[in-house]
Amino acid sequence: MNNDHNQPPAEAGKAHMPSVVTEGDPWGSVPTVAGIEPQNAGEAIPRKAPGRLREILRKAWGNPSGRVGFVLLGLLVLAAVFAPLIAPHDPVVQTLAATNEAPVWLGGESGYLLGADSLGRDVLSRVLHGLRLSLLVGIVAATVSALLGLTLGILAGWYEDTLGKVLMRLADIQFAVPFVAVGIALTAALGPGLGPVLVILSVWGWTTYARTIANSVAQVKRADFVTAARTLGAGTGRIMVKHVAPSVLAPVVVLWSTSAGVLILAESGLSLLGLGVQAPGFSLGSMLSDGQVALRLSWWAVLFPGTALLLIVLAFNMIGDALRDAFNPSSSLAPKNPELV
Amino acid sequence: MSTPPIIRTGKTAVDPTDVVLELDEVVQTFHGKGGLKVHAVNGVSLKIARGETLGLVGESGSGKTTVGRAALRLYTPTSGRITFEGADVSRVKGRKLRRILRRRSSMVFQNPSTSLNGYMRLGEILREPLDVHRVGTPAERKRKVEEILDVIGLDAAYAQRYPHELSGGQRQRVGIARALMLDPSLIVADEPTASLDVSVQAQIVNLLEDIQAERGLAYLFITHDLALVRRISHRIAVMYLGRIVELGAAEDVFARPQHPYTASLASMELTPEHQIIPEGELPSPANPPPGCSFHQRCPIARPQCARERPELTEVADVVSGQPRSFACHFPGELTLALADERVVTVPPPLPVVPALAAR
Repeated sequence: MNNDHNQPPAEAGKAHMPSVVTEGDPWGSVPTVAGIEPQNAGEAIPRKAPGRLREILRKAWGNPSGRVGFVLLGLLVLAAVFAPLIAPHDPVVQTLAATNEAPVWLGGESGYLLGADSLGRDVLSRVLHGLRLSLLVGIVAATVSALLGLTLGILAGWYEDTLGKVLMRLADIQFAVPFVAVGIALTAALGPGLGPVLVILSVWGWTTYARTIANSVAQVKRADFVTAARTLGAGTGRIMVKHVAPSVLAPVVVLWSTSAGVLILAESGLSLLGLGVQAPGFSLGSMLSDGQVALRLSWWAVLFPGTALLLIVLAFNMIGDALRDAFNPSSSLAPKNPELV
Repeated sequence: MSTPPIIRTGKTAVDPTDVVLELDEVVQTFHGKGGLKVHAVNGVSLKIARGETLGLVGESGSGKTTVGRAALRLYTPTSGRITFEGADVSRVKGRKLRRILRRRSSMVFQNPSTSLNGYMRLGEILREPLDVHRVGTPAERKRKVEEILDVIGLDAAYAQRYPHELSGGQRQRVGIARALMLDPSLIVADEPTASLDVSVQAQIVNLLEDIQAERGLAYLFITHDLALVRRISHRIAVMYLGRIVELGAAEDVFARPQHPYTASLASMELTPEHQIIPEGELPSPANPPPGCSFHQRCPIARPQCARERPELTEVADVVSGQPRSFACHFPGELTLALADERVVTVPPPLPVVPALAAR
């Protein structure tokens, strides 16, 4: 294993790579490979390690897909935040003369970069403003439902025979209830608007998370390292937070990243039914549903919000992929950082 | 590596009256599927003194792991008493359990890859017991982690590493280090060497012995490695189907086995023609046979064995004079063939008892 002596010359460039396997013996009873001073981590490892979160983010950033995702999401968030500054027109002002006006590069005469919709509103300005609500819904609803699902999933897996059974039956019931019907009921109770939609989208998603992780939690509960923590006196709460949660975080992050896009679309579905954001307010989703009516006259009013939506989903998925890898300590930055191997 | 690993011997001196852990008629029943009751441990009594290693041997399914886990109160015993450092811990819970037993005992596991949380750095893993029991200030905890890394022969910088960056032997040493963090008086070691290769096994065993000599802690050493258990244990308990069938000083038990099951275990170290291999399989602990639980597989079983269960009786060993006990109606009849001319005398097979056959 420690074949430093007979490495071919081509390998010489890698000589700074530490010999990883050093099964030596400091108390001198077992013969070791001659000349190797084992057990010394050397200078390669700093005494002070970075925090767990920083390490994860650094790893995710080191992943090309993660970097693209972060940059893309950053640009979209910037565009949403500064929409009032960068949007060329007021997104709700209707210019009847420009109804269904084509984008300027397709011969449109009114100078709208991405054309105008069937009510003569600038599509570019609407996309920029629409991003705000859609990103808000996507990030908030996905994050809240992920946290809720993680908590309930851990509880369901830990108390698999009692609370777990109850929660899983509740999840079954929820699957049988049409999402839209609950949305209508909630809106009837609370009135239409963004609030109720955000609440229902946040609360509805827990089942997927809980179902996905409950089994893994039940397995981790039986793992030796959990038994070890118990014999050392760790309480159930501590074990759930310190030992169980990190072990099931990877699927939660993946689900979180994929659900953001789904939730953004769900919001548009609800607003189509008059449950979500109402005109003159709008989101990317409501632009899609408004635009499809006049799809043959002004396809650009659907294509560009759709593209923006696609970019959001893409950014989330790329970040999710990178985070999933970064959460696993054994997926290291090996190729770039040999001393961390 | 051609040189065999050097294993030192030298067991620590033990005062048998200074008892750390005592199990008294502990029964551990689990409820299986369909209301099936499994008596994994069926009335086990044993004592471990300070600085003593009690080896617990037996085949898979004999309940030895359950005894170890029951001793650390990972279960609540179905019946019986567990006394730890003079306090009855059979039924205590919560904070009290934490203050008495959890604070002063720990466990070392068979597989070091699954016993360390892969998402935690070694420093966090080792600090956790101190965090749980709020021992010392953060700076003192950090120092203690570095000290213990030094004890197990790892550089202090390893505190920043993750378990997957270590070899199996290093991981097992970290597992032992974690068990030592609270200066326990008892460590239950559940096959701590079984998943390691031979040279590393020697390291681990030596480390465990050094620690015992230094700190005077007691080990309940669960294993099926007979040569190992013989070497490191002061006393050995042999388990079969949830019960202890023989218990005595390590040098007596395998040299002069009284119970036929122990004899068969001891014979495994001999050449194949002298091995006594019990017939059939270990019966299910959900449905233990009547009488002596070993009688169906025992080469010297007689009708009495199927009727009466032999009690564990204590005698003085004929050679060493040390106390030993066994649960057999016909102790010492099945002897080891140590030389070629000494052949095991196997009595005629058990006649079929009509009453039993009818069942």
